Amino acid sequence: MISVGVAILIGLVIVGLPIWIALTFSAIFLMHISMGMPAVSVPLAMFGSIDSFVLLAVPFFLLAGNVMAYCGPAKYIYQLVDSYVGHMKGGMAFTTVVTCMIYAAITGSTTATLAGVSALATPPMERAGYSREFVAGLLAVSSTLGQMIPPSILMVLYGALAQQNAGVLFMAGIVPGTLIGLALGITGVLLSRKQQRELQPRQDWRERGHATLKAAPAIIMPIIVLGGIYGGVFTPTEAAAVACVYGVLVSLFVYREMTWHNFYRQAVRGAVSNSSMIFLLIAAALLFSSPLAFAQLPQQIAAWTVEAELTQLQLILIVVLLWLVMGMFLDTLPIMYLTLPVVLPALQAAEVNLIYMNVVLVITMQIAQVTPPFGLSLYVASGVLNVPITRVVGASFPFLLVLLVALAVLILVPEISLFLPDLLAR
Amino acid sequence: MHIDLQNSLKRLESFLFLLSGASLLSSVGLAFAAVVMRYGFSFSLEWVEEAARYLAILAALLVAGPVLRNNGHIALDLLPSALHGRRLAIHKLALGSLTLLVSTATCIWGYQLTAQTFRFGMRTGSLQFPQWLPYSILPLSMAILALFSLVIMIEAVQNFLKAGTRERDGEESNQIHPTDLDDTP
Repeated sequence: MISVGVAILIGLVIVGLPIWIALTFSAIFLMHISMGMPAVSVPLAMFGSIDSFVLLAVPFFLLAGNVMAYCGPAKYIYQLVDSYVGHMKGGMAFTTVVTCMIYAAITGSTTATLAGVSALATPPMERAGYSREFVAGLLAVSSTLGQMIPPSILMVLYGALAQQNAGVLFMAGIVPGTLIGLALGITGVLLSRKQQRELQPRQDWRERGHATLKAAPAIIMPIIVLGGIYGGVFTPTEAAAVACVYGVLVSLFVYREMTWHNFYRQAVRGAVSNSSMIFLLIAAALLFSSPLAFAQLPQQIAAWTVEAELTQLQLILIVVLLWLVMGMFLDTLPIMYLTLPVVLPALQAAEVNLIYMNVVLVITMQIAQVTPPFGLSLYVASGVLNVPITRVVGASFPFLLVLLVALAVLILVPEISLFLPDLLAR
Repeated sequence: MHIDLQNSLKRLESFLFLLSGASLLSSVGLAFAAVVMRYGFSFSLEWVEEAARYLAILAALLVAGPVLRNNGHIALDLLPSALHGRRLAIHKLALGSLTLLVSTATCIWGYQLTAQTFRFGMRTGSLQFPQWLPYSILPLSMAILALFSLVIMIEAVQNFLKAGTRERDGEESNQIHPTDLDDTP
């Protein structure tokens, strides 16, 4: 019967039904019709799965990110980075990647980063001779860095599923995120040295100081979040609430750019829409996983991996391959919520470190966002920059290769991910 | 769709977003207040966490319908992007019907759960609030979702009829009427 339920789910997803509705439909079939569970177990399971203080961090971080992105603070980051490296040959590509890193850390959203940074970076880059499709390819990949650099919503969700502390997961993402950002920046510089016709004049230290001061209130936000969590001052959820209040205060009193339109229409409405999408997906996915748990499917898979005597690396490679294939067709959240309830017991049985696995998952999800035919970032970049999707795919390919190499390195060298959490645990 | 009905729907959508936004902001306010109370006044309120949780759930679920209408829920759009005209309308009608089915079932069962907790007089952990109140968020939001899926179905039927008229008009304009031949040189 489980296979019938899974077949119904796949069929409904393929015809284009919203994934949470397809999951709920299949779960109702399995629980109520096939297994004879009482009807009230459906709403009970759905409500129970989202009634969590840890998950509260998701809408809070979404709101904080939207406030920083739409109400002023984040846009000064480009000027800051540009003041330091914009004068170098290919430096504008580097500026764009580093801006994406910081912007993504502040907003936590791939789409907001892509839209925000493209508005700031595209006009000067085009004036300097960069092709629009190069900018689109660079932005499509760089904007995914927000998933690795804390505070990351994917990590909060993974932490809730894998019963891991979100603060520790955030720390695990810092070194890999920074290294990937640098690798993307250097690749951008190498690829664009011939494209940049005009060089910007080098800015003096007074101008750099001014740009730093202007961007400082925005850059402080992730520091407050991480410092607060690690200093034991507040929990990740409370840190997200503090980030919201900080964002509003800074936008109102420092940048003075907050209006009713950008606060309510863009930041708040955007945050509740995305929260609705995420919460319903979580509720439906965990509802779907209850008949699977009832049929002991995760335990059977875990037992199979032990019987098959798979090494940790073999198991990780199988899981990553599954994620990569799914990532060609699905968005990150459905992949996580469809696979993790089944895969986590197998990873635990093989004694895989779940903090390290968080980093492997996040980089794989970054890749999923830029893998054709359905990489979300590719479509957003195509739409925002008005470049045909096929050209964005071509232009993003060298940067996608960087992510694939980074994935291989992160799988083979767990110390890169675990270095900082281990250091702080000492 | 009738213009009055469209305006009413727009007003309902705006109201739901306003209520949802207010709930989210209240939830943020409560979580922030908990931090301020703890460090500023060495005082912690047990119920704040619970209230913040329920407010965030209300914020997220209340707008499920408007988000569906604005295509905000994640879906694989391989098939719909390949369809046009009447076929796309039929596809939307089918998906709308499935959504209506799921939301109605969840609404009814959610109502049953709410009624059961009301009968048993269950209360929440720290707020000591009647448990049926937070549980009622689910049937309420599913009822709103059912309404919006009904709207999507009506719009699909209208689009189907419009596409049919356009296709007929197109066929007629492509046909050479016998009287047209009189004017040919």
